[in-house]
Amino acid sequence: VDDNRDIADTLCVILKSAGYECLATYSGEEAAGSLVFAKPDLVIADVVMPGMSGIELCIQLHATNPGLPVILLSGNAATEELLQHGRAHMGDAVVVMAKPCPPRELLRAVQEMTKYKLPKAI
Amino acid sequence: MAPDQLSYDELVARLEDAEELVGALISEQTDAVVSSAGVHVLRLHETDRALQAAKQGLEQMLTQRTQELRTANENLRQSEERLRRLYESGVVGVVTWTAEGAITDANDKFLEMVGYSREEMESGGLRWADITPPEYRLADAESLAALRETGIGPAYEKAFVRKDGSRISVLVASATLGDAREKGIGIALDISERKRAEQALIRSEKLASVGRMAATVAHEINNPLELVINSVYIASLDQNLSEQARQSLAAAEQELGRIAQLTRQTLGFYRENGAPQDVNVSVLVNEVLEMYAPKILQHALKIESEHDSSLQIKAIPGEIRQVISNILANAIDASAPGGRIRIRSRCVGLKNSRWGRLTLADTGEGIPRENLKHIFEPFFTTKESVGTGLGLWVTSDIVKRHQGILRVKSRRGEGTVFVIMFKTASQEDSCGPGVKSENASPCSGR
Repeated sequence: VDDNRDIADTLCVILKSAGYECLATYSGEEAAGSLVFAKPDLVIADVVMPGMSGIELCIQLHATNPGLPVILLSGNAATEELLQHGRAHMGDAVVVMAKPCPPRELLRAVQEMTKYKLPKAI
Repeated sequence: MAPDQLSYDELVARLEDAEELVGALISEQTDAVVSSAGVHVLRLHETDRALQAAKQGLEQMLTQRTQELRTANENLRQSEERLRRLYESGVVGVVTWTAEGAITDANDKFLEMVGYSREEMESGGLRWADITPPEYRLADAESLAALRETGIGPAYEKAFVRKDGSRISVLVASATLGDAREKGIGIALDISERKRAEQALIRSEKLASVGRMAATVAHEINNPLELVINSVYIASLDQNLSEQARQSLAAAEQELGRIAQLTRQTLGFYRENGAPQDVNVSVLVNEVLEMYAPKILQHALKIESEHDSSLQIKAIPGEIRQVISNILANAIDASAPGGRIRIRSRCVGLKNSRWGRLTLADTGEGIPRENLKHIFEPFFTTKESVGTGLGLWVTSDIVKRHQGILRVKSRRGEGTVFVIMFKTASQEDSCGPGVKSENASPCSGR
């Protein structure tokens, strides 16, 4: 999920190239709405987005899909502090990564999180 | 008995006892009984009494004058004591001077402020011009003009050059002594502490504004950068790439990673995620050296890199890479062509524990003593056109966060040595088996 469509799309290409299925969405609301049919194993979301932010999305996911792993991509320090706070509430299912994030690192994190979380995911 | 019934003899006797007989003298009857001789006696007595009174008056006046003089003396003494107290207290520097710039007398505080001895001053070796930095000559001339005009030189801020060449910020004020206005007395107040506080405030404001800017710009820079990094990666996945294109993309990817790292760390608004891990110092040093290989070649520098390959420290690798890179970049800039840079790591015992010690030494121009205490301050740079003044500040911040120790030694014309002490990794063999065996090659663990 990223309001910058190009980033969302390129990330999707990268994930697909590594063998994952991927759905790009461009706002927090769209992502929340797509949960019904997409049934993801993992959500990657930007933090700063107009409308529903990555953190709000994360909190909603935590309520509807407990244990669903989330990778939040953060662009600056202020949000990172906020995230640390959010993480205290939502536990290990949330990982914070700094933007820009080298694709190899992101793929490693995705692999790590899906491996660990897959048995629990709905 | 009433006075008019007194006999002459009785009257005289009373007069001789100097009794008050005014009433009797003006009585008509007594006037008749007093003979001319008696009147003479009366006048004598009267004169005597007048003399007595005059004498008493004089004595009283004398006593009063003496008292006044004593009070005046006491006031003078107190005033003198107050001035002396100020002179000797060490609160303020006091000097007497001549218009030609000689310092004829000074209190201990003043001598301490400028770092000269009393003997040097008394032999004429302390002159106003010698302790005044060139940029304050004009202010001094203005003050002297005011002194000639009005006898008063209002307070102004300046600096003194101490005998050892260092500077001290002062507030000075003067007044002339005597009508010729060719000499005078002045005070100097040490305000360096206040100046330092002022500068610290300015710096922190500068820092705060940069921080705000960084936070605002971060998102704007990081998003496009993310897209570029993703695009390069996707391009590199193409199977049909020529070898040259593949190499170019790999180089681009690597450099983009470095830029990403730099924006995160140099601007200081990102703390690398995750806990410190066990890091092999020699690996990090080699990575950084590789990065700087073209620059090292260009400057024809000789690199001596010696490492204990078993040394592992507990650290965040990206941050330590940044530390090595910052110090190495400075060493390269400071070195003349053909210079030598030595990078060594080994484990040492300090305060009963094992530390990883990384030493980076160059044979460059060295850091002037007056700059040495400022090099870890933000925005301090001697490389105005190319430096940000953030490198060593970030470096010291990272070392501090790793609970390490950062030391620097430098000598003009000989070179500079940076020494960093890191906590060693948790495993036993990360830095020798124990403190005791330091002499018996403790670091060849594996």
